[in-house]
Amino acid sequence: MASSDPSEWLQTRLPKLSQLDSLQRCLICKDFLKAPVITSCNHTFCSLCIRQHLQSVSNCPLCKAEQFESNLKRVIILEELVSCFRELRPQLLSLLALQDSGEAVMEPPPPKDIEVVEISDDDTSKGPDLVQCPVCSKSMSAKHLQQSHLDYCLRGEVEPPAASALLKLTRSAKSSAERKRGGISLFFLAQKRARPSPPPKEEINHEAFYFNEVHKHHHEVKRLPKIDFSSLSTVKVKEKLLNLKLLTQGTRPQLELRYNQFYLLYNSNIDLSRPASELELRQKLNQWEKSHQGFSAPKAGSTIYGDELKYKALTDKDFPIRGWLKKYREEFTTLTQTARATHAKKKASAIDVPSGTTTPESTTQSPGMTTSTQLQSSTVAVNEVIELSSHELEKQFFPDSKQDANVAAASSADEKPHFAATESLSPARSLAYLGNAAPDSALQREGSQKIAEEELYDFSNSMLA
Amino acid sequence: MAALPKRIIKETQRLVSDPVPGITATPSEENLRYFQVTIDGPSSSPYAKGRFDLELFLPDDYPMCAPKVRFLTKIYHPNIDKLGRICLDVLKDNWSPALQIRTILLSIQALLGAPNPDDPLANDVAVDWKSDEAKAIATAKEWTEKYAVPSTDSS
Repeated sequence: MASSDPSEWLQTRLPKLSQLDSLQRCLICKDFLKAPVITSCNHTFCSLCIRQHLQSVSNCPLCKAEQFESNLKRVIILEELVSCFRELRPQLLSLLALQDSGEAVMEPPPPKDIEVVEISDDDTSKGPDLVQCPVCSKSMSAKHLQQSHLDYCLRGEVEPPAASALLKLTRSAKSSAERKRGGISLFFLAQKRARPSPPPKEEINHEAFYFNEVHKHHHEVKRLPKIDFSSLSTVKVKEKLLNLKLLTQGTRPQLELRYNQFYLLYNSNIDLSRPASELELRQKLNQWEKSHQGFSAPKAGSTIYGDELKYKALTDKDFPIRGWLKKYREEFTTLTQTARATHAKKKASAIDVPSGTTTPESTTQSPGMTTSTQLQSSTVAVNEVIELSSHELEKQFFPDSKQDANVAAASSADEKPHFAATESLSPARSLAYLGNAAPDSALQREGSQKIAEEELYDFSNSMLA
Repeated sequence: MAALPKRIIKETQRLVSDPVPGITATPSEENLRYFQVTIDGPSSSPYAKGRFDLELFLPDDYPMCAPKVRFLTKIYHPNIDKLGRICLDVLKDNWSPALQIRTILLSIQALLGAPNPDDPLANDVAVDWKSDEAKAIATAKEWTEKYAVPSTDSS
């Protein structure tokens, strides 16, 4: 199903329904509330979303008041309201769809598996103020084109049927002949087909459930307990997993991840009026594992998370930095050497010193780094980070490796920047560390380091040249 | 790579279809968690008329942890260091999953309008800012002119 959005109501005859729509959504996942629970500060979220959040931070995402999982309470009536609204939503959307003076609102290109019927130019559904969509060259009212169709078309998506379902054209092959004959019949035909009965899902009577079937409101299921893994041996952890009929293969961290995720799924499932079976939960867990990086196979080389390092984020406190450094040390060395070599060359030609024997050391010590301020930092910054950090890495973790004076000075301050270099392969990754930088880290820098930084600007510049 | 949560798709759609005035955010084609961002300097600030490039990355844990944002354009601002890192509470301790890309970018725009030299990231800038604000503002204007104003021929 295409993801729904409150903004869809803005193109209907009752735009205010978007408020009703938004209010029924979870602030965390932006989707309709699923198993809504209320906090002690009276804010409501999906059970799964808030439990996930509380696993890392014990506060309310909305008001920051202290919050604990044990205080969460189900809101049964809200769950029924939301699911009732969700069932009615597609119909409401189509009933309230805007029409411009009875003008046919055309569909965007149909999905591939449906036969496309070209609508000829003399088709009566084409009114005086119809315009062609510049992308798919379908005709439609200018308003519709501007308000919704173009967005979808440009994104290469099919417009959700809700917006134009009222006048949906049937595209089955058998009607193509009728279609050619008369535009009017086409119009009516379309309308008749356009109010489809909702898919025959099992009918749920929300009213009856809430008022009469009270016995169903409480599930005789105990929540799973939180486990303090540090006090358990791996054997014990496996035992626990086995009791829950969960897989016991994988490394210790994988076992812990698996339990924690199942714990979330299980406990939030209990908050549903109609909980899923444990079998379904285990399937969900398996799906989750497939897409979770902690369980992805350590395909060598291609990822920066190799071997035993793969399930740790680089920014984690206990990231095995030494192992990581050992693994990628050569890459760092090559990078630094390339940078120095380029830099040396450039300096040599600029100062008019015979090139060739210029060692990295002598170059970095030479003054005159003023060009750095002229740089467009946009292109340089990432390189700079890489450079700076790789030096620091060397200094901090391989103190016996060869260094030059400035680098030694540079390495004194920041605790964190080395993470940037670890992610040097993609610009996106470099951000992973940048956002984390402690606000006061810059304060600790010393004058000498600033000089070194300036040089690194210069380095990067020459690398680019 | 973890699967792309529905929320990120929703947010991206909305950023594209209903952009915030003065702010653009375009996802990268190779990595839908990586965005190219531009923020226009607030008109009442020394950064007026500047258009600043930023990069934004949504970590695997997003929305349970904050997006990583960094200035790519050089900027003279007490809360933004020379690597473009931003000192902003909602990007660190005050992050909440109820926030989103749009609100974060608005906060950054607001930070441009209200520099806070008492909680500095770029110490030298903050010192200048406190000792001679008029001069600091002049420098900020100069930098904006130099690095952030789009050249006239390329609109």
